[in-house]
Amino acid sequence: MNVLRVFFGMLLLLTVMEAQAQLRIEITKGGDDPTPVAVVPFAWLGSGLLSEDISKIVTDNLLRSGQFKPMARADMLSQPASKAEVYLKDWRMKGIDYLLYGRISPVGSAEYSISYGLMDIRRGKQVAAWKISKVRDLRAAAHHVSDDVYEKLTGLKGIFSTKLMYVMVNQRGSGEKIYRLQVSDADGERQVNLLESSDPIMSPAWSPSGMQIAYVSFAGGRPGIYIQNRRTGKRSRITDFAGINGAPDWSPDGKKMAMVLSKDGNPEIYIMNLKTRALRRLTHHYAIDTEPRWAKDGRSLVFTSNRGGSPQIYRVNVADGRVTRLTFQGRYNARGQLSPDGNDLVMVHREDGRFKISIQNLGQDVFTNLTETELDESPSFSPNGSMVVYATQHGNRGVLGAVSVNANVTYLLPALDGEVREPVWSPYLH
Amino acid sequence: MSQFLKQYGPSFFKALMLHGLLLAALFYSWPSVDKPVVKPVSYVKASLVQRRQEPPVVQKKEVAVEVKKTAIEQAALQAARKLAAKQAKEKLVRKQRKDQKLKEQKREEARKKEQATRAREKKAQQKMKAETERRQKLKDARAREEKIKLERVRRDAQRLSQLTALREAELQQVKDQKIINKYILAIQQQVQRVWSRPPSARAGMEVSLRIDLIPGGEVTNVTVVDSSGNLAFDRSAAQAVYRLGTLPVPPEPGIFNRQFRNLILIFRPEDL
Repeated sequence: MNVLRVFFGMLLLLTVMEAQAQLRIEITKGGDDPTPVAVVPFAWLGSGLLSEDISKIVTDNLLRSGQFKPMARADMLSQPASKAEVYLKDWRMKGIDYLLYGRISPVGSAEYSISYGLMDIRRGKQVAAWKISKVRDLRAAAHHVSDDVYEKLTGLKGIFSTKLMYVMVNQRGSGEKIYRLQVSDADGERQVNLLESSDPIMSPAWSPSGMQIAYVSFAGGRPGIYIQNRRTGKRSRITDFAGINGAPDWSPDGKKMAMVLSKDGNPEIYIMNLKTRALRRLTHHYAIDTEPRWAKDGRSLVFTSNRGGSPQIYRVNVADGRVTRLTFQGRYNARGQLSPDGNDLVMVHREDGRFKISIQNLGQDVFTNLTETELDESPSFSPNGSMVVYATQHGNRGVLGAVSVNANVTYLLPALDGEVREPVWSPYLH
Repeated sequence: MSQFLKQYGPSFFKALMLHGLLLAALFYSWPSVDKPVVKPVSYVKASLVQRRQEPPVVQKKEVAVEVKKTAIEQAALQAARKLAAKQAKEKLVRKQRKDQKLKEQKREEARKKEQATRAREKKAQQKMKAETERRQKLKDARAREEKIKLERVRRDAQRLSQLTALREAELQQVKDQKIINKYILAIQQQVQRVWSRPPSARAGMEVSLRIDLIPGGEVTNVTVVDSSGNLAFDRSAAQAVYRLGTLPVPPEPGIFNRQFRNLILIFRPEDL
């Protein structure tokens, strides 16, 4: 009886307590719709016309990130250039979350200073304000502004100032092919030739600092791995072995390079000490082992092997050479690369005879197709891990595509007048 | 009786003693008072005894003898008188002794009788007292039982009313909870629909926001009470609430005030 009374007493107490406790509601999913932003045209305080439309570049960058839905310029009721000029109600009415305004001032004849600020329209507060001076390259400045905004709102470092490297093949009227190694801005603009050759160029790779590049050239009829300084153009051949010399990939510390050599019989993964040029063989298998890519921590590599009967992606431990298989989905998975945080693996995945870009979460073993096109190849993570660039076919031409890792946004980079292959996203450049 | 004794015992005995004393005094003083009365009686007797012995002497000597006879007679008479007085006195003493003895006997009897009476009375009193006590005890026991019974009834009634109140409260709570759950679900759905998580969001991140609402559900304030450590993530959560501007809340003022005026929203992505 007493126990019963105590029980009821406690029940009553709990009821009272519950009634007083604050209601806690858990939100475990998100619609993840792009955030509505307004990038107001920056006010130009000088005379004449500017060579670049900074706010348009910023708008396009934010749109391509897949995280933002920039407002059309024509819909803007006003174009504030300072915090004081932002009439919140106008923008709230349009459902805008954030607004970017800015002013460009001329400094001397060829330099500018740009100040800009980000407003939280819903709360009516300024999120941040920046100023950059001694600007000469307005396009680079626009990417810089995009990075600032992106990082502020997403918590991830922006990738708008990074570069893409790829191989472009043009066919001349005579049928002769011209191979070019090119670097462009992340938005595909401003292509720069690093190398031009009538011999095939393959497997470009960035050094961790972005100062150097490596690639395979068939110059002289035989493949060799080359390292080239991006600024000076100075290059050197680091391998000249019989058979395959391919798929170079810089270690994250920049001191070693993984590669594929068939000098010992069949293609195996090797690691070269770049200082001493000493080689260490990492895989020992009669099957083909190729396409090595370092994990960000430098302790393992992923590679493609058909040792299991079909091409699949494996991981090899650098310290002891222990190999584990990572992919089991379907009969073809190749060209694997780990995300910067090491949690995801992006790859070319064949399904129903179509080659797509797919991503596999290694912890949860969730497999997602990022693209639904036919001949997608060579996926490469952006340095912040939010996007993947790849080569695809569009209108019977090889072009570059990019897709966000949440598959929210896919876009093609501006078509170039040639066949584009093997894109690699640069690291952050300084 | 005992009551009487208790109350008047000492005075009663005093009175009794006084009466006794008075009685005793009466007895003792009796002879002196009665002496004159008794004397003639003994005189009469004595003369009767003398006359039977003396008649021949008186007959023989006339005057002288008569005088002598008178003197002798007087002496004899005196002696007879003395003897009679002595005898009377002795008799009186004997009588007195006898009376005394009788009186003492009577007194003893009275004492015994009184003692017996007193013992009887005492016994009766004791018996009565025991009876009274027994009755009192019984009465007390009955009263106690009655009280316990009453208490039990009262407690049962109380418990019943408590249980009823509890059940009603529970019922009301279940009803309220149903309403609350409905709105929790609605809030969840609406917030989840508009939450745009930044690419830096990862499963395991968690930010708690306190949302202040006014009746009708309009958001008046959003405060980060427990940051995820990722400012963009925190901001995206707050922005989701601001995007809605108004959250679905129950129109019942009681429930609203108790549960919805200040909400804690915990943003904890599970599908990333």
